[in-house]
Amino acid sequence: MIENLVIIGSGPAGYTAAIYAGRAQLKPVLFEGFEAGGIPGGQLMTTTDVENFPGFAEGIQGPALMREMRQQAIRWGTQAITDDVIVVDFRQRPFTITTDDRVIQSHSVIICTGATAKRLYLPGEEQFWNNGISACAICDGANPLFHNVDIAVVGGGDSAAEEELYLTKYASRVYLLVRSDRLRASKTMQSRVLSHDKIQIRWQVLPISAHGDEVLQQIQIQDQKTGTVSELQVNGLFYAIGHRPNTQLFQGQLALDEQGYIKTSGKSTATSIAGVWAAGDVQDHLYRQAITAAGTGCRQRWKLNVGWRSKLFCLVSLWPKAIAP
Amino acid sequence: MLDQTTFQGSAAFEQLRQTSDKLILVEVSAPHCSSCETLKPVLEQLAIKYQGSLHLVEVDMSEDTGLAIELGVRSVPTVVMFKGDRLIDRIVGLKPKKLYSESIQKSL
Repeated sequence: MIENLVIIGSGPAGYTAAIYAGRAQLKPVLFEGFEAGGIPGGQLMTTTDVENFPGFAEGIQGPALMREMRQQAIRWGTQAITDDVIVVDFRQRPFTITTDDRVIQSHSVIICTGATAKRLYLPGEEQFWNNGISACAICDGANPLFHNVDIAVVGGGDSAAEEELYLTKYASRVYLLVRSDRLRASKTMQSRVLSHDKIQIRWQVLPISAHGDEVLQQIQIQDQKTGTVSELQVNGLFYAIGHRPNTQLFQGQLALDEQGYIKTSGKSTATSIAGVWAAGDVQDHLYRQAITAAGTGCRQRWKLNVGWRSKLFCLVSLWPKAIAP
Repeated sequence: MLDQTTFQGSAAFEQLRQTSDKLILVEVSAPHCSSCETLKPVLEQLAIKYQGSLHLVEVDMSEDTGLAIELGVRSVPTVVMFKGDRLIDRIVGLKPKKLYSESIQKSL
């Protein structure tokens, strides 16, 4: 059996694409992923309060929002499969999508694989990964390892600020290590961070190595202006330094930009292969919001449907002429 | 108790460790841990598949902090496998599904 549409990825873009396609009775198959490229539900699954998604006056927890989107997609006939896609073949039609357990063919594909948190790969990082160093404060912050000790967060954006504030629940002091001399976080988040008595900001520094015994005990930080290296006694180091797009699967088949994001033509979500679309953070390094991802997720279904309708119209309009005597 | 497959909490784990000779899978998780939620049904399916040959014990790190420390858990989800007092395997973080089934097959 050949599917109408396979959607790869389960963040706001993937579920929105599924909702629209489901309502158009395309019966989409959605690969939610398992562990490659982050967990099912995407980056919002490791976010606490989402305060800027319209419709939730008091804000909503990231995982709760994603559960609602998933249920909505399933309600409209989406078949959700919790598997990682390991190979795709866009060279011939129908397209082939392969996981550990199954091979599926489809007439069209929407890629919504999003982006994954970056790491610094410091000397010592591998030894202390999950033993003090983490890229997810929301996942690991509650660990006894981080209770009533000093910890550090690297980054200057909204996610760094959010992780920082979350970690103050557990740690006795939280350093924020910022590479430049200002925060990129929104004004609201900045004022929360700057006014918090447990948070101490270190401007223009970056960690350069990690040290300890069984667990992380200390990091070395370098002043970006003077080059001076100093020690910081911390038992936790959390990264919030941006993301890289999850496009390894598509290398060599789709046109990617120099940072690895999928290239889409003009304002559309069409990729370099007809019948393959891309939506959300995997093709957007600028806005990267839940709402913009959802917006692009809806757009390509529109294209998909219009394309099919016009083909159907051609067939119907040709039909009487074809059978006319 | 020994015929049962799925358990919760450190008390059940301690009792199984002393009385059962089957493989014990301890899944340590935490509230708000999405990776733990993703992993949970996978382990539950494996527990059903190998029913009679293993026990699955689900432990919430925020409630059973003592056991989490004893097992050296520093990140969740962590799956620790025991036979009696003998530690057989440890899988830290969310890993490909195959890894869990392979490790169980090896350890049975």
